[in-house]
Amino acid sequence: MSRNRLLFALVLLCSAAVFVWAAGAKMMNVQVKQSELRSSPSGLGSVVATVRLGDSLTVIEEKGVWTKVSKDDKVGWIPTASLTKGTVKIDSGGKDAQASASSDEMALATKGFNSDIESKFKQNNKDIDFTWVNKMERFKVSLDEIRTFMKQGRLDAEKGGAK
Amino acid sequence: MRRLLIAIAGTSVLVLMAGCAMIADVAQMGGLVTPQQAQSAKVFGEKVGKATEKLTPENEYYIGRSVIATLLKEYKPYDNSDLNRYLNLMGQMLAAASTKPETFSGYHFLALDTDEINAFAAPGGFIVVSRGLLRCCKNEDALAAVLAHEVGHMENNHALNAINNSRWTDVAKTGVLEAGKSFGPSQVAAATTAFGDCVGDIVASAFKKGYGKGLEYEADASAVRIMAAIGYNPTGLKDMLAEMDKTMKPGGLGFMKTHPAPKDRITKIDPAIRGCGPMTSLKERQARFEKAMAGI
Repeated sequence: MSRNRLLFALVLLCSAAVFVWAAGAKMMNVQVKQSELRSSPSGLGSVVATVRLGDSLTVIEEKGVWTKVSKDDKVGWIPTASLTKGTVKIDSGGKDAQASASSDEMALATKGFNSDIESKFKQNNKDIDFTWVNKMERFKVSLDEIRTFMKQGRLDAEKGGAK
Repeated sequence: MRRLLIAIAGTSVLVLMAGCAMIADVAQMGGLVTPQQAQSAKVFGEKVGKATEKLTPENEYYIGRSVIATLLKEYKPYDNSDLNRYLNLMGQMLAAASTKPETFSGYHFLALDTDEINAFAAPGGFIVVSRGLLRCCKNEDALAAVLAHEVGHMENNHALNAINNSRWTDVAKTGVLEAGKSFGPSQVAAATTAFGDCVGDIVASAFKKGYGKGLEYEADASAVRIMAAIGYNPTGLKDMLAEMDKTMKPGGLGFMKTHPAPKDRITKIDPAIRGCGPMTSLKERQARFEKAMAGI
């Protein structure tokens, strides 16, 4: 191989590596049912936008357990653990499936411990009742309710708990 | 010069190998390769990158649902909507201030109708607290300590650690966690068995064996940090433990079997809370606490 060809091959290899590195570092997918982009890296920060399972976000920076991301024209912080570099398949077997799935997607969705496995588990354990688990999941509070609760109880996250 | 070229080429190859899994996903999404080809590339990329297969938040969520459903066979829920709403307001607020502010479907709290002193955090953020333990709380800061301790278990993934190591081998054999793999009936049956075994291990730890002293102290340390972060006085944890110590009976069930002695827990947290001062129950907090806990 001539020196020129070797250099050409090397340039191609470097370009491909830079592309992969750049592309891999920037995009991550939401792996929780729903999350909020917040104005600051805190679960009590104001909500900038809502994102959902499978949404693809552009990573800007990381800080502790939080990652600063953008989606469309919105920029905010999300827990790093709520993101994955891998693809996220919507569990089409679940009642909360957010998208209708093609037959291929149906096959791919049959992975992990998911609603299909839970259904089989229920069949094998008919004495186990999920009624209250489903009720528990409906116990939700909003950020506004939490802020009101904090204000009424004179709780101040800025001051901390040391008296 | 030659050494420089070799170094650049070597680095480029490593970067490309590490990016293989991502390429597979992107290529598959773009329809450039078949799912099988993409999967092969992904597996290769993960092997090269020594990526460890882990449960996704969704997997944890489904385990947690079944763990709580199994526990509720033994323990009746305490159907008190005001109290459960109060627990969820406090609990979800404390979780927001933790290092694990989110789970697949959010944090959810429920009171259990039992005199036993007990509480448990299942994977996915499903947290239950017994009436017996609630009675050990004389103010909101003490109750915050109980809930923050459970969120502390979530922060540190203690429930998943309770799964017997051998189960992971069984899970791996089913291929259940391999992305993109579809199953036949026998594999689904094996995966369901592995799932049930994981659930069983966690249930056994929850109310029978416990996580071990070290993990309980770790959850207490998390509780002190979370309480301080939200504005509660972490001394509430010490007060709650002192009350628990008075209430617990030797040979009792619940925390008596699964947790270190309250006095030992107080000794462990003491250095961290020394500067926090004594508990002074604010009028506003005490009023709503007593209202929510009425009849407990």
